[in-house]
Amino acid sequence: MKAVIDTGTMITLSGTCLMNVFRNFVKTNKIELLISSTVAQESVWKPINNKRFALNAARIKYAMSEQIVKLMPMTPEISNYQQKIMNLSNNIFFTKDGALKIIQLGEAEALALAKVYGAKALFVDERTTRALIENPSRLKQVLERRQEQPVRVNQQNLDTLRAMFPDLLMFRSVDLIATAYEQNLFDHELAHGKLELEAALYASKYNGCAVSEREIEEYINNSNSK
Amino acid sequence: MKPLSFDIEETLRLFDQKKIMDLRGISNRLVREAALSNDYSKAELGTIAYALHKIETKSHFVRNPQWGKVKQEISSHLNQAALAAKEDKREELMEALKTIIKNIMEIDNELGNYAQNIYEKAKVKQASQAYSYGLSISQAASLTGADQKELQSYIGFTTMHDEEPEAKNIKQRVNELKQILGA
Repeated sequence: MKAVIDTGTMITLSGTCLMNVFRNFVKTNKIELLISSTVAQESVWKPINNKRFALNAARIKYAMSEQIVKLMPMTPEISNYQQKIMNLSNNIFFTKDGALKIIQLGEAEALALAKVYGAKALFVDERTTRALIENPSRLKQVLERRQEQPVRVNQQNLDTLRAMFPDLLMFRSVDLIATAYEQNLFDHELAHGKLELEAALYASKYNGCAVSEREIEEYINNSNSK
Repeated sequence: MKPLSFDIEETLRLFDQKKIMDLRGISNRLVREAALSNDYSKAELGTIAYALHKIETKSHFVRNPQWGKVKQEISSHLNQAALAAKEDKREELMEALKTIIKNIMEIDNELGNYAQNIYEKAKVKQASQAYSYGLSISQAASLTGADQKELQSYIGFTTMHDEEPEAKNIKQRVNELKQILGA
């Protein structure tokens, strides 16, 4: 199965030191996991020169050299889709001050890769890109509440964008970790236990994955193992 | 939305009058407006105002005579920036703002107690606000120039993600993932 992974999810997984779980998950499930050149730039080549972030970046670099993730070069087709996705996404929600620019090139490129390579899944930890495809009405509510003003939707742009991804499913690092746990893939990193699962999910949350405490608690409490 | 020249003059007034909490207030407003209009100058001024607010709350800074001198320089550069904004001289405006950032970073290197610069922290703090207004994480980081990893980690320790429930919970997503994996 082909899937695409965004910068944030790569950063969360390397920051939580769960790269072995990640590797097991990708290899066991025979996932062809693609990353874009922008993701490589944001998660490896930029932070590797900063001593505070170099270790995380080196972990991701290693994952690339081990072919756990596959770096996809920019092509004219990807670039065209990237621009199209940027233009559509950043012209969907409007306030009285104009269009809200809600996504950047990196996120647009991840979506473009998913489109061009027919990926079934996109791993993205941050909420805005995910909500844009999955649940735009909820995103509109968030924007209105946070910005304290009405937000108008350009329905045509929204429909065009969503029509590009009719079957794309979105997942976060917590979903990947929980699935790996259910598949008994914590080996070589952690014991298979509820405590370890909880620790891993919270580490992911504290590294920025968009997940609530309630959601984690609910999952842990309903989890069967000890 | 106020013009940038007005915002700079207001920041200068609050800074000169040591209205510390109001500096924070204007910083938040500027970042909110920057997020709305994708205005990088407003975001930069908002980050500067937040950094100045932080410095003014630290007694080891404000009691140091060096800070008095730097404060005068910053006021002067804010004046230049306001003038440049009024006359629509973009390069001069950016130059004045960059000089203020340099002033902040230099004094922080001399007097600060932390390895991470006050200005760097201000970028992350204010980018997290932009994220809370609905921008994606990389768009928010780009607006203030914050590092994405730091921003992600900062946001992770806030209650932001607890306030907005997800469309699908972990169990639902795990089931979907297992289904497409054929697991």
